[in-house]
Amino acid sequence: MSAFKVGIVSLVVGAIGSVLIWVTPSWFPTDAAVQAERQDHLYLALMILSSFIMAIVTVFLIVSVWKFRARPGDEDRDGDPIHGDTKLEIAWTLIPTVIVVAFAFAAGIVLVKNEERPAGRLIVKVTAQQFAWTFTYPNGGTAHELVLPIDKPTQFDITSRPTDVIHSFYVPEFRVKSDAVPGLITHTYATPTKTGTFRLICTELCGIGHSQMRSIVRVVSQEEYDIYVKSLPKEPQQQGGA
Amino acid sequence: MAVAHATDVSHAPGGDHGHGHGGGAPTGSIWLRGSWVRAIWVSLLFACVAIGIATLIRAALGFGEVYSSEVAATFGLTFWAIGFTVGIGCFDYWWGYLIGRHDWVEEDHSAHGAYSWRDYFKVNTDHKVIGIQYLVLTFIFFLIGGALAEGVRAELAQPGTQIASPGLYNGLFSAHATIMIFLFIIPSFAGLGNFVVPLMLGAQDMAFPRLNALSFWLLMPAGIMFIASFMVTPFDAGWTNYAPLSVQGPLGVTFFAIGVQFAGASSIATAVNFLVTIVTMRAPGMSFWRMPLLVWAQLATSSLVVLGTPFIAGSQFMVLYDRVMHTGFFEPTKGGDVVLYQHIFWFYSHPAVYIMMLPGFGIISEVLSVHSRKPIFGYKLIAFSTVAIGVLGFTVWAHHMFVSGMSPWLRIPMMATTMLIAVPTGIKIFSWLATIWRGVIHLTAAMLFALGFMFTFVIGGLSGIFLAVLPVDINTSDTYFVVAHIHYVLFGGSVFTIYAGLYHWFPKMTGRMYDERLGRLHFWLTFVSFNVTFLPMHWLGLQGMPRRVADYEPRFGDLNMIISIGGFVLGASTLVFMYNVISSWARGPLAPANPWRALSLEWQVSSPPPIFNFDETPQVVGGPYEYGVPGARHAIVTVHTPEPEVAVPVTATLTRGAPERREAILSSMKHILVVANQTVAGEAVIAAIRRRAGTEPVHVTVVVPQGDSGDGWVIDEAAARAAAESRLAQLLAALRDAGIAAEGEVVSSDPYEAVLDQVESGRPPSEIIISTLPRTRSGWLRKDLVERVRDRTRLPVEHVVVNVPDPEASGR
Repeated sequence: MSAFKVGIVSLVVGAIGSVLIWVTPSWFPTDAAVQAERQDHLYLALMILSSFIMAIVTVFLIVSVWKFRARPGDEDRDGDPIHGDTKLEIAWTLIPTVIVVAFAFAAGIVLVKNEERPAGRLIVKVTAQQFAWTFTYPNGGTAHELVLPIDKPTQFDITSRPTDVIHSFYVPEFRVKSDAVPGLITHTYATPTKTGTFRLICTELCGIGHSQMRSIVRVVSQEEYDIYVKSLPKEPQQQGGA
Repeated sequence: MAVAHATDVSHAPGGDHGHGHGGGAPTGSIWLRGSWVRAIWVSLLFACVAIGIATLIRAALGFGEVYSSEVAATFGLTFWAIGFTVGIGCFDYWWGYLIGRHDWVEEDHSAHGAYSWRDYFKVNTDHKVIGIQYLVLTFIFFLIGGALAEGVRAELAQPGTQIASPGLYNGLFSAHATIMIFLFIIPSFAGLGNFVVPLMLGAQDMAFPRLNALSFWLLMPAGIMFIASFMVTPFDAGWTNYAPLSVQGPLGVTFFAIGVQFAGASSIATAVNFLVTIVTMRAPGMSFWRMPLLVWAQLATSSLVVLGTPFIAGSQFMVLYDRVMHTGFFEPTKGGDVVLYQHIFWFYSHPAVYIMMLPGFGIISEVLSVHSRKPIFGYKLIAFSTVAIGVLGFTVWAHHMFVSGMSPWLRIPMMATTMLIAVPTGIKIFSWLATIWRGVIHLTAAMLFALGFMFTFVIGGLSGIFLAVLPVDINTSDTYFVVAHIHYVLFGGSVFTIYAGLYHWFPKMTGRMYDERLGRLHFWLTFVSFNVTFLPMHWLGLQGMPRRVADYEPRFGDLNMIISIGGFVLGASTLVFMYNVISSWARGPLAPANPWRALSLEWQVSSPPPIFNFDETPQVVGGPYEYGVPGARHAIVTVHTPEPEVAVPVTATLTRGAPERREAILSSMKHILVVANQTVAGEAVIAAIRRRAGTEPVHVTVVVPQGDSGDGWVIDEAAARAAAESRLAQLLAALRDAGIAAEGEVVSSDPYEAVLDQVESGRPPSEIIISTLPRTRSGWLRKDLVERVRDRTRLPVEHVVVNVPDPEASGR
């Protein structure tokens, strides 16, 4: 029973786990934006990494307890006086470093891509308050529901009223989130890829109405969007501080 | 000739030999000496005066609203807490020096050591007492925080409102987290470290025993404040207390802000103590590379505490100022910056999670090595990685702020450092796996929790890597995915290590063995219910269930019900642990000095250890984990007091102790110590000695203490002594006639001191007979002499009562 063989077994278990993860239906809600697709791929890669790490830890734990458990008569016996193994320790320092650096790079690339600001993007202003959302479209029209045209890169300029508290703008189906902060305008970006009705959820504790502070996100065709926005009233809205 | 002098009330009647043994009866009125009674009235007095002065100033300055509840709470709570620590007695020694009290003794050990259960409820300077005080108090807060969690889960069991309105619900989870973090996890590691670290270092106590006591007593008012906030409107902005919600919040937020100051002060004082003790009080021969890994962990943790805690204190001070003084630190309309709060807060609160984890890592190293009988694999790398985690821990705080709207460029370097911190953590996990590989694994309760920790902490660490990856974090921030992560690392991490440590050191701390079967039951109940409770939360978070919500989408109802049921079973599992601890502490089998056959220094002294730990400074000659190395020694320890005979241990495989030593005690001649003064010549005494002697050869030592004659009135010292000599001679003659070898002397010390002198001598007794007057006349019994001797010596003590006729009007 060499540690090397057990290591191989655990890698095989990790591979089986990875296959299971691959074929299992996604744990996510529908992916309705390009940002969502990219995040989901990154997440899947992380799940596969986790499968291998959990396999190594669990297999070695179980085999150790099974093989090296003290039996009757072992009361005074001690284990082998192994103090370390420099090659092994270097390996399990360097390999994880390489892996996390690789994931950090991949994450950075996804982040940059997700936050691209192409010319001609749609810009929607989002104002949060206790306990409601207000959206201001480029033509000045305001509404309490968010309607977006499909396949259009969109930038959200998000803030909270100056004397209000912090809220957070989160659309699970887009996988994007940004806090709404009084005195600050924050930004997040999404390019919707599916029509449908999705959720907007406040995800920063904002008082007793926090769990009810939700709204609707409707992704429609460009034509429907244009008609909708034209029909909105143009209330002069305070956008809050710079 | 009657020469009467009153007992000097400033000395503990245990006798004052300059350093004096503690444990004597208290002197002075309970209203004026350090006590709970004084703590109550002094704290209330301080609070009233502070509130009064603040209100008077407001009136003098012409404020429209003269009384403000915010101002009253701020000053009242602060000075109430300070008054509490003054009243309970933390400052008496320093105050006595400042005012030049005539009977002030520099080496004052009167408050040192546990001689009876009452000492645990007072200011005590013994690190072992303080450690147990910490562990009991923090466990009570664990139960309170757990009850709050059950309240949270009861509300969340189904969609809609069950038992808590949204406002109360926000208060429930805010208090739950605050109490668990500041009053349970952080201080319980302080408590466990307090008990174990000085022993591991070969020291007699911590560097600053009085500061140590103050650290403990600072914690109590902090906890009371957090709980008392429920009597006004509870604080409801989460334990993170973000501005502006906290600045706009109810009165309870002020309770939180001030409670944090005292909990922080307690933490910082303890950390300073640990740092100085570890750096300067290691036994000769203990280089840094021969320190147990728990000591390394406390070194790193204490550095984090000292450097980081002032930041959370500062952040709460600023919130308090914004609330009470109407400043604008976090108020955009006054030029303030909302996100600034988060930077200051998380600069401490991220290192705080390592403060809550590193000592646990140290405990795991100890437990895995001892219970698998193997050296730690890669000791130096584990030590390095402990320090690395500490240092890197200060560079990652903004990963809590990825979606906060902070400067976008900061997110990338913070992601990089956060990913990197996975490397030293991984090193530890792999090293621990290698430690148990090819060991001889004993599945004790401590070991089960250590192994369970490996599984659950890796899950928590992996979800941490997910959260480090920016796009994934942007999606999962403030959802139940994070709730799953934090509970896997804080419960499956920290709490599991606390349980492992408590089981591992229980015999050392209490002198008793716990019930191993109940320990196993506790582990499995906890492990299974914990995973049922927190594993599904990962999925809920990904599906878009936000955190800190009193209500959620109806489709999440079934899963939340399962989670809540798991949570209730998890709560119930704590009761198994409590029953085990309480019943074992009260009547468990006596524990030998070294039930685990471990090498570190705390196991080389009795269970529990002597009051001053080591009779002589140990000499460290090797590493602490040299299991399996023939002839390896960690240290040479010289013990003056031999181990008393111990009861048969619970499991033969684990508690063999030192069999050679036991046989040596059994084969040597029985040595009976007789302690008596007025009653020494009584028939009952002789009868008791003869009964104990039986048919085997015995040796009897008789001491006749003259000190501490009960009510303090000595009639005529010379005549009393002569009478005592004559009674002693009578007894010795009677014993000689009965064929029992005996010797004796009249001593001037009090009876407790006299017993200790014999027990610590070169020829200690194996059993003791104490003979006293009846309870109504005995000054010795008024001071619980028999119980104190039993507790302290752990020898069989027989109490004989003799009703000697009263020779004088004012006899004892």
